[in-house]
Amino acid sequence: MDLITAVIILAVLGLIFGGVLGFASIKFKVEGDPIVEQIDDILPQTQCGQCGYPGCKPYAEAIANGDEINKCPPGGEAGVKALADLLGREVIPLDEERGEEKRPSVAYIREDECIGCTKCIQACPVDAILGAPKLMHTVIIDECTGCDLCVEPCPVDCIDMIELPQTISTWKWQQPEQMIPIKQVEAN
Amino acid sequence: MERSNFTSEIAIFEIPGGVHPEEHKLQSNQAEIRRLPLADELVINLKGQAGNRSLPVVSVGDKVLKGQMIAECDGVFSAYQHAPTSGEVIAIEKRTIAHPSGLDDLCIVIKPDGEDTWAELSPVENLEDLSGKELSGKELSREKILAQIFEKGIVGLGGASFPSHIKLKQKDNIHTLIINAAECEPYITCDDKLLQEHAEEVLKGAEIISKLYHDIKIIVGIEDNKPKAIEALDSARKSLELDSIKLGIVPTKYPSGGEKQLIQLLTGQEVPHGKLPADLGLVMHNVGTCFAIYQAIALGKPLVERLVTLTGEACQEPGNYWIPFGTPVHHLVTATGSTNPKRLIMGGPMMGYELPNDQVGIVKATNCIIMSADGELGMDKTALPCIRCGKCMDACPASLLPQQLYWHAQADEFDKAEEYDLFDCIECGACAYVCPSHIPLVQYYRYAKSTIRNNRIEKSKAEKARERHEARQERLERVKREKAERHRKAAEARKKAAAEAGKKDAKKAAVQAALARVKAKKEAQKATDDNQDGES
Repeated sequence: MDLITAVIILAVLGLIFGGVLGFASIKFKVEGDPIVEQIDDILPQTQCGQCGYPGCKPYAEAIANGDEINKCPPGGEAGVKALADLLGREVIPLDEERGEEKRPSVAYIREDECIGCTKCIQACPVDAILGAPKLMHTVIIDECTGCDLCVEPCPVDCIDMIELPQTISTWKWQQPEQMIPIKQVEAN
Repeated sequence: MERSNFTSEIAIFEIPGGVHPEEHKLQSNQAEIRRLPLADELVINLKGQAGNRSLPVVSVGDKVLKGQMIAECDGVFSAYQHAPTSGEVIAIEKRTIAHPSGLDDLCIVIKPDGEDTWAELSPVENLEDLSGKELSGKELSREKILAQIFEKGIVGLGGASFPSHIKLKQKDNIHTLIINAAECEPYITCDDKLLQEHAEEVLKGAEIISKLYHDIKIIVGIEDNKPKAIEALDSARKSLELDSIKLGIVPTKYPSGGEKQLIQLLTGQEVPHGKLPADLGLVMHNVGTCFAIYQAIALGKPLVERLVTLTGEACQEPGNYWIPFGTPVHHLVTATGSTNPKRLIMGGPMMGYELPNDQVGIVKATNCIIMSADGELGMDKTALPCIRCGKCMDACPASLLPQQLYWHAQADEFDKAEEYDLFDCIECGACAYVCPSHIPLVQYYRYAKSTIRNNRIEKSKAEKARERHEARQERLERVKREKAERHRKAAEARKKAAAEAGKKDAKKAAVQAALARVKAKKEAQKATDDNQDGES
C-alpha cells in the first residue's frame, strides 16, 4: 500500500513540475542569446570588419562562441577591458594585426573629383553616403562611423579619412597627473 | 570682515558641510564702480552661454552700433549676442575662448570706433499695465516680457549663463522667487557692489520677474558679510514701497550661494536628486540678472556689459568695473596698471579656472578676474596620498562621500562613482580646500563627469550606427528577396508560356496530322476512284 502511495505521489509531483517547467519554457522564452546582445552593446558599432567578421554583431556572436576579445581596434583598450569584465576573461593587449586604435575620424569625399560610380555607397555599412549614379556623392558626417570601408573601392581615390577635431563639446577634463613628481637627480 | 547686525526677516535653516576660507573681499569692495577705457578690439565668443553657439548675422566689414544684434540664437536653448560698442566687425574667426580647455571657437571681433553710439533702444512700453487685472492682458504681457528678455540676450549672470527665458518659462505652481545675492566665493564682490550702488534697479528687476507669476513671494538671500549691500537693499525697498520683499540674511559660509544650498538655507527644503528648484515651486535669479532684466525691459538695453571684479595681489587697481563683453583680459591687466600676474583666474579661487592665455575676451559668465601674485592662491602644492581623514566628507555641502568618489574616479570606475551620486556634486571645491594632502579632488570629479558624458554620447552614436547598419542589412535582404521573387515569377511565367506554346504546337500538329490524314485518305480514295474509272 505504502509503495503505491509513494509512486502515486511521485508521479503527481512529476506531472506538476513537468507542467510548470513546460509553462515556464513557453512563457519566459529567451529570444536570441542575451550574452551576444551584451557583447554587441560594448562593441563600438563601426561595422568596419577589422575583426575579420562582417560587422559587429557577427563578431559578438564569435566572442560568445569563444573567439578572442582583442580584435576590435576601434573599441580600443577600453573596449577590451569592458569585454574582459563582462566575460570574466583576462585583459589582453589589442591584436596588432587587426590595426591600431585611432582617434575618431570621418570620411570626406573630394566632391569635384568624384565620378559618381556608387561603389563607396555600396561599401558603406551604415548608409552614410549620399549620391546617385553619375552624380556627385557626399558623406553625412554625423552618420559616418569612420570605418575606412569606402576608401578602398573608390576608383579615383577621392576619399580621405579626416580626424575629427577636438571641440568645446567633445573636450573632456583629464585625470590629474601622477601625485608625486619625479625629480631627476644627477649622480656625482 | 565686518558682519551686518540686520536680523533676517525669515527663518534661516542650516546646510551640511561648508568651509570658511579667507574672504579677501575688502580688496575690491572699497572703491566705487568704475569704467576702463575701451580695448583696441573686442573678441565676442559666440559660445559664451550655456547651450548652442549663437549664429553670426553680421559679416566682416560691417559697421555696427552699440546694442545692435550681431548673432542670433540657434534654437531656444541659446542666446542673442549684441555689439558691446559701436565699431566695425574686423573678423569672424576662431580664437581662444574663455574655457578651461584652452581650445579655439568662433568669435566675432569688433574694432571699436570710440564713439560708443547706441543703436535705437526699444523698451517695453506701459510697464504699469503689466500688473493689469485682466487675465488676457496679463498673459499677453507675460509673452511680451519673455520675448524681450530673450531678444536682449539675457542669461543668468551668477556663473552658469543659463538662458533666462528658459528658466522663466515655467509658470505653474511657482510660489517663491529667490534673489541670489549671497556671493559666497572669496575675492568676488560684484554682486555686493551692484547692490550698494544699484539696489533700486535690482529690486525693480525682481518686481518685473515677479509679475510673470501669479501671487509670488520674493526673498532676497544675502550673506551677513555685506552690511552695506543689506542697508542699500533695505532703503531701496522702503523708497520703492516694496514691503513684500523679505530679506533672508544667511551666515557667511562657503558655498551658501549655490542654488541648492541657498534654497535649503532659506526654505529648509532640499532639491531632490534629478529635480529642479521649479519642482519645489521655486525660481532663483542672481542680482546681476535682475539688474539686466530691468535694463532690458525698462530701458530696452540688451546685455552688452557686466560688472566684473578685478582683484588679486597683482592687480594695482582692484575694484569693480563695468566691462563690455569681449574685452580681452590683457587689456584689463594693462588698463589697471597691473604687472606680471603669476596666474589669471576667471571666476573665484574655489570654482574658477586658470585662463589659457590673456587674449581671451570676457563672457557673460565672467564675474571676476583674479590676477594672482606668486604663492597667493596656494595652487602649487604637491598632492600627497590620501590619508583617509574624512575631512572632505564633513566639508561637502551636498552630503556626498568625496573620498569614495575620488577613489572611483581615480580607478576609472565610473558606474560606481555614479552610484555615489557623482552628478549631485556642485564642484564647489570645499573638499579640496580642506584636504590636508592637497589632492585636486574637484579635477577628479570633473574628469569623471566629463568622461561619463562623453561615453554616453558615444553610446548613443553607436546605437544609431547599429540601427542604421541593421536597417541596411534588412534592406539588402529585402532587395535580395524581392529580386529572387521577381526571378521566380518570371521563370514561372516563362514556363507557363512555354507550356502554352507547347500545347498550341501540339494542337496545331494534331490539326495538321488530322488534315494530313484527311488529305491522305482523300488522295487514296481518289486513286481508287481513278483506278475504278480506269477499270470501268
